[in-house]
Amino acid sequence: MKLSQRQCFIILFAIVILLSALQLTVGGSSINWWMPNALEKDIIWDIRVPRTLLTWLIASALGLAGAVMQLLLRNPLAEPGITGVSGCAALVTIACLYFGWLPAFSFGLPALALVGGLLGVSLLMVLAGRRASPTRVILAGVAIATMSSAAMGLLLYLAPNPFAFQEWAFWHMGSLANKSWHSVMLALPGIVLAFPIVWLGRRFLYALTLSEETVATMGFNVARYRNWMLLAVALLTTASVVAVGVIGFVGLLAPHAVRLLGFNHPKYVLWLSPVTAILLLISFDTLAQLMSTARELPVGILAALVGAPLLIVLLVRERNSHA
Amino acid sequence: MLELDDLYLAGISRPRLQHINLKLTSNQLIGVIGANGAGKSSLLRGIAAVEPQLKGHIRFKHQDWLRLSHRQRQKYLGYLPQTEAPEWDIRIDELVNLSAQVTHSQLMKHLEKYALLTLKERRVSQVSGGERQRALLARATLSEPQLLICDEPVSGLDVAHQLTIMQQLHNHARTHGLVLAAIHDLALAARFCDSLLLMHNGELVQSGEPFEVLTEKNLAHCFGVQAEWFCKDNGVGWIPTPLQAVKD
Repeated sequence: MKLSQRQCFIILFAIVILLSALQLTVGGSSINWWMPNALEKDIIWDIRVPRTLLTWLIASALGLAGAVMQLLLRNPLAEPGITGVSGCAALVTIACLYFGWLPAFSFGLPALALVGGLLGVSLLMVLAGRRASPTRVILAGVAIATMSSAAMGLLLYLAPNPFAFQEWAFWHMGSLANKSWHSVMLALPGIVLAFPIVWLGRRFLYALTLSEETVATMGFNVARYRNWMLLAVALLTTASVVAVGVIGFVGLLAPHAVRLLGFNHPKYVLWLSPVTAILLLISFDTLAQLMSTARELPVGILAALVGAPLLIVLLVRERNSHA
Repeated sequence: MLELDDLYLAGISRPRLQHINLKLTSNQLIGVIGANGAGKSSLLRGIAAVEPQLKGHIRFKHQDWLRLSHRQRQKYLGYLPQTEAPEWDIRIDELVNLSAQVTHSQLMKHLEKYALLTLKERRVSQVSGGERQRALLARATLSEPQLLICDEPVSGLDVAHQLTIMQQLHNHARTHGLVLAAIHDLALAARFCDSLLLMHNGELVQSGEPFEVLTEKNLAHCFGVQAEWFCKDNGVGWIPTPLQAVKD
């Protein structure tokens, strides 16, 4: 039996709800859910709930950003983490935070970091060139990601705050640990802005199943639509990076999971990817918490452990299809 | 219906198009012929408004064609480029209705017209090259465009598919408007097209009915061949020989 988009969405969503409930129950302290005392209430409302909400926000942003990038670049390998867009956003975030340009919590942070995100997508487009082959985009992306990662390390090392360098792992591998409502508020504006932009450009992204040239004859001003979609990718990526650091591969895994379920049409990939990404990231985060002992494992490590082999499989498939 | 006024397109060593002046009327299938690099694709891409560097004027139904917005042009235009590979492995009916502009019954009718009904649930990777080309043509004609531009629609297809596609282009011209198609097979062009545009080195050498254009002089000058033609009531055939071989 073939499931419709709606049915599949509902099933995925139900699993997400179940997993969210599971995620709420794991953590450093055990909680009496039937009759929480004052401390336990604080833990629930100030730690567990914002963490789950943040997971939803970040994952849907990463999933949507990955899907948009893949459809826009007509490239099944594209993803904000691998292509260095996240790294560029993180670079500006770190500069702002550790060099005292901005207070620790300010809406100026996502706004400034957006400059980094936009720089990342622009660099990628310039380095790879238009109509670049999938592997070329990845090559350009790896260069940008490596550069931004090294620069992030250098900035953290040089930062006046002596503890900054200890947060290296947080920024590079991303973590949902120790998050509060502040992080939710940091991530929210960019994501709220980006979803309508993608919605308005959805038909353009579907049409890009065919070449840009054909899409231009289908009633779309390709340059204008492309710039809006790149802005959406930058917004989504930046929103996730300022809140939780660079979590790679979720944006790669989610669209491919959707395709693996047999939904190849861009409309399914675009709108099922966010919910699939939530499912994945909640699983990764729950697992990370369960595996952790003294210090919590950054969730990005798990995402990369699962995501990188997929990238390798896709690269091999890419090579074979050109052979 | 379509007027081209002094089209010019710069190229790397020489202009890809120059001095193109032409008036075309509706309900015709126009074949664009010429050797490789003669400027067939450039001309078609220019008319489809996907060559940003194109200079000159194009008037379509008394409108400045190149100044229209993408959305306005889309109402009249169908375009099938030379090489089109759908990036995602979607179903044939999804491919044909990619821009989701028609109702289900309209789509079924259109699929039937292009003999795609039995293939509609297959994926792009599960059909042959000819079937895929037919689906792409069906995609380009779904909005019943008054101006249909196809760049080598039958290259690389087997003979049965070539004939079907040419027949469909012919039908489209009769019922909806003007069809321009670049064609390498001169016999096919002579048989199906109402008139031919012969291109050589970016210039329009001659336009007119097939046998006004496919003269001995033109074939020698533009293709470097000599040909023996034979005509039957239901079609034409030819045996070309390279000029070099004739001299030997």
